[in-house]
Amino acid sequence: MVEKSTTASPARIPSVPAARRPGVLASVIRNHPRMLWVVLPLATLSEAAEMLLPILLGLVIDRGIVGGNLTFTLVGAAVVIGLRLSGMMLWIYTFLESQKACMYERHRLRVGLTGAVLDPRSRRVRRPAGEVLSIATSDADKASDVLDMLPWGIPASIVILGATAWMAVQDIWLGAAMLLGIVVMVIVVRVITPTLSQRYDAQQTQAAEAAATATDLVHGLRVLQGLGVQARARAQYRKRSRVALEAALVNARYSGISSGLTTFVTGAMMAAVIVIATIRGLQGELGIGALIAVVGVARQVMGALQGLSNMPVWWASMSTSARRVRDLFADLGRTVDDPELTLDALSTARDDRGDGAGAAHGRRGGAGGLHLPDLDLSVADGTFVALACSDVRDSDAAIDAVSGHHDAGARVGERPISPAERAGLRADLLVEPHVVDLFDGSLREQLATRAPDGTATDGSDDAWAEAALHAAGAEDMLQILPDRFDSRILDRGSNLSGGQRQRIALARAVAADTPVMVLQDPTTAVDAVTEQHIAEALVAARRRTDRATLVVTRSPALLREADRVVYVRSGEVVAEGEHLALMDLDDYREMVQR
Amino acid sequence: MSDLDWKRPLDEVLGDDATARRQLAEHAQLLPIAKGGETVRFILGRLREHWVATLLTTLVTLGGAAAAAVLPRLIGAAVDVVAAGGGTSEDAWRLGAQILGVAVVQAVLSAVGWSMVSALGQRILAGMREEVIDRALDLPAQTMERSGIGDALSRVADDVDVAARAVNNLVPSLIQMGFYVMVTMVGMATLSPWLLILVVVVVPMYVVSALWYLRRTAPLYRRERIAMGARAQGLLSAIHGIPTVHAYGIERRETRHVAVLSETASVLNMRVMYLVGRLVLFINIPENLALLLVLVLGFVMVHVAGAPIGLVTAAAVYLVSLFWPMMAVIFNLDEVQSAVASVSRMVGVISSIDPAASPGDERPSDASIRLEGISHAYGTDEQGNERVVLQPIDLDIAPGEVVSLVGASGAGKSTLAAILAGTLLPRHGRVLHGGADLAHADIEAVRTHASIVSQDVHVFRGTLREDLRLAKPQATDEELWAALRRVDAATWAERLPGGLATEVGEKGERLTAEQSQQLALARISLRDPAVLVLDEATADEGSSGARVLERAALEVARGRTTIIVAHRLSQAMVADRILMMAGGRVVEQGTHEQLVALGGDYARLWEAWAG
Repeated sequence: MVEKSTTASPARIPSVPAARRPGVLASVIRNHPRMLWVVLPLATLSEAAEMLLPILLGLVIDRGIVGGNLTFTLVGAAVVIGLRLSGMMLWIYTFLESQKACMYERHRLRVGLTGAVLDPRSRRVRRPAGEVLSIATSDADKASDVLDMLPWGIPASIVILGATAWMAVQDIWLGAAMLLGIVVMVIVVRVITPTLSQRYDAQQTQAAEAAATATDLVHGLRVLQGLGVQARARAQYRKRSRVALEAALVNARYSGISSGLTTFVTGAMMAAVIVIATIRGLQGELGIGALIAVVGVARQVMGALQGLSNMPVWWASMSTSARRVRDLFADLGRTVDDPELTLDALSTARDDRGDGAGAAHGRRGGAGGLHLPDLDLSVADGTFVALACSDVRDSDAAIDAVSGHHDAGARVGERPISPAERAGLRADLLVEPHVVDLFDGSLREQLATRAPDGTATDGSDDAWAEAALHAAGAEDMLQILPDRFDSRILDRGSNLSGGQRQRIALARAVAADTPVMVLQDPTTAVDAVTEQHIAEALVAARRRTDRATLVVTRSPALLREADRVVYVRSGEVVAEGEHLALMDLDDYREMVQR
Repeated sequence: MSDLDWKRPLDEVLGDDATARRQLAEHAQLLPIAKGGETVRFILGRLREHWVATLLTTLVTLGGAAAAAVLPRLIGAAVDVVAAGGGTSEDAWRLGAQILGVAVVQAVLSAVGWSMVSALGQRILAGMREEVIDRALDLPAQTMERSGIGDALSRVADDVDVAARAVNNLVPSLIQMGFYVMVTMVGMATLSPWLLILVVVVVPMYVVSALWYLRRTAPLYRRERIAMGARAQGLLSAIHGIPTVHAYGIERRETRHVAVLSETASVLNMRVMYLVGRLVLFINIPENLALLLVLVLGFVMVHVAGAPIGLVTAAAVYLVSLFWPMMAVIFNLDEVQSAVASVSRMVGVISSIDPAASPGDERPSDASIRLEGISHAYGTDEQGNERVVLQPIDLDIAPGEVVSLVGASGAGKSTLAAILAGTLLPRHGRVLHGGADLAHADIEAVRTHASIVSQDVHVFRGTLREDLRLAKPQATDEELWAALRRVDAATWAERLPGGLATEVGEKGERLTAEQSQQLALARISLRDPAVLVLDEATADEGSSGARVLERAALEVARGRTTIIVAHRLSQAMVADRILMMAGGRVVEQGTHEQLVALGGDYARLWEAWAG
């Protein structure tokens, strides 16, 4: 899920009606006008040079060798080689140009999609992360292939038609045989292609299923081993693998048949061309040179046709991919040509946190505290307040209000926390998500995710980082991790335990040192001993005159250390005061101790 | 401008993205990789196992290539019919019939050969991927943790995929072309020994070009693949962590990280393309040389040796028909190279990791646990000393006893729990389950005897029914519902759109962490082990969820020997015995009342907790 919350109300960007969604293929081609006006004609020349080769060879054999003229043979050979060399130079040039264009577009689409998906102003979409990944990688690649296909497909088709015309000029029957061969080939391809791609898709689906099962089992390895059911998992995978194998064997048969059919059509056409050309040769209407040329051209055309026969499938998958890219952009409320999503914009823009992007600010002063009128709750600067709710729905509602996904009247100082202001408030307000997410990087980089400007993030002075770890009860990480602050924390903290992840996330929040901070159940994965340390150190770290902290929790350790506890039941504040005083309330005590 | 600076050095592309630099530099390969020779022997061994299919496949493919190689001679014959004079149209028709016949033979053999090669490859591959998973499932969790998991995942998914794609199209077409090139060379040599000169001059040039190309592209492809992997990981983790990304305002930073890796991959790929351009240039040299030779030799053969003109034509056709397959072979060599790399990684896992086998045949006789002189350490520090995580300990746990482990992080609770469950083998000492020493026990008996549930939750792909049946394959729906009711999960399970047939896991219905953990407990209930270890099984959730889970855990634990690693003291309280741990040892031991009365660490903790 790209966005977990379901309150997908206002977004700044209006949706784009389906009919006006700009096409991705058109955008890709429009970006590279040179492909049409320069590369295409040159590629046609290169293909034509290739097609001329058998004609020239025929001429050299006829006039040079048969005619016993050594000079002609040598000069002819030189011309042949010269032709090949220039054809090759053209080919290399057009090949590199189209590859550059194609790779540029892959990169542009991928980065544009990434920027659009991550932009907080984009509309939120409910799509599995894996699907977004596959659109941003394999679909972006496939859609850009149009720049790879056009400069080859169009010239090849033109030259095939030209070659057929040349054959018809040699002899009308030869031209007719060629045309018939091409038509039969096209029909064969049209008939077998859908079946073939169906089988191929079936195989790919089954293979992907097997791979997904394998990945899934490895991801769940600890659970499998904990349960001791490795043997059962093994049997399950074997079953999948065999299904995939069956599909692969069916596909192998169909691919074989397809390769055999095209081979046969080519062979039959060669037979026809040779019979016609030989008879014409015997009648003296076609010289040896022309005979060789005709046969050579026919072979060349059939080879090119076999290559071109993949085009319909290719085109189909290309436009499907382009559509997927377009739809994802549209779902996000963006378009492929959005000026904010160009490579330039994305690689230079800084994050907008409302801190006057770019300017060095250092530590920020007080923001005027946090105010939740719905709960009649105010967290003034200099205080550490705990919110204890007997119903999770109340704590979720409070977190929702300060997250600003919709305007619930909450304020930072005098500024409302609304969807429009949310991004710009981030310099002063940090609402640490309860679900911990860590990104690949060293321990120091984790902690410096949003440390104030001027913090020494280069390792010259780690005092700030040590202080943050201390506040999160995580100093022991420096003993556990071999390279201290330079130790690599893997993506999602996969080399840490749940408790370690939670504490590093907490230290990261502390290091951000925002004037207003909201935490939700920050110690649920931590043992009782450590939780006690954290409660004391965290409150000490945040107790500054210009800092306001709200923690939503039911942990007795945190509640005890807070300046004030606000106890909420069924949406109403029922009591307020110090933890020890509230412990006299039976239902409060029961809620906290169980 | 719609272009990138393709010649930019990678260092500049990576800029100040330290993470991307590290991702490209460190590519953890924790699992073994087979050496070239070992891989070849392995594949030959598999081919020998399928020797009938291998032999038939070779014969059919050879036959197809031979049929294809007849065509240039027939073309030569046609030229001779015209050039020699005196031919009739009957000769032309006879030739046409022959070509058609050859085409039929070639078509049939190529169709059959293609499917045979592909099928043989797929069969071998299916066997290999199953063995890779077999080994991966038995790898100790400790090995798989850290970066090992990524390596294992790439072997079971990416490598299998790369190899399978190769077997699909590349391998059959390359084998056909390879045979064709060989047969054609033989054909040319038998046409006239003069043409052998051609082979001798041209073939080494092709080989040199191919080697030149491969040596340069291999490292580029390897790095590109790493960059692509890091790119995918960067995007996925940013999407998964979108609440954090937005809270911290790092959306541009994460986008740039993906962009940097994407550009790195593109620049590397373009470097390969420049090499392709140069390769085409190189290959043109032997090709043009061969063309020149064929024409000059042809002149010499016709005018000095008196050979027929058809022979020269056949030679030229042979030659030109080689250009394309040669190019195709060389172009696809890198894919072959990457397929070979993937296969080597698979073979590495298969041949160097032994499948788990039972160390003996002792079976647990009851639900008691006994530790004798157990201690454990992970690795060694710089001075070569062991990093001790568990000091020597003796422990007796009676059948049905509930023991809870309490202590700070790093006190050794999880290590002790894993040793008690039998999933971690301690460095020193003996572990006995119901009198059976785990070092001499029947592996399946121990696996059935003891289970451990940890914080790591995982819902398996497939239906809810399939997930639960992992624990008990023959369970009826009634039993499954009973297990769900036992852990308080029946209410939400009933509300699922398809009940037990609802698709869950990454592709299906998303379950909350709490629901996933309830599912884990339901599996335990079905598995019905005598010993149950709960390693913070109820942690990492809001407190309301924790309570539901705690109830479910206690319910499932009833009647079993249970070890609870507790982080909430309310959980520890109910145990028959509490072990208070610190610094890898048990510092206090007793019931809740005894420990509170003792006035030590536990008592202080309790005081803080209870207010």
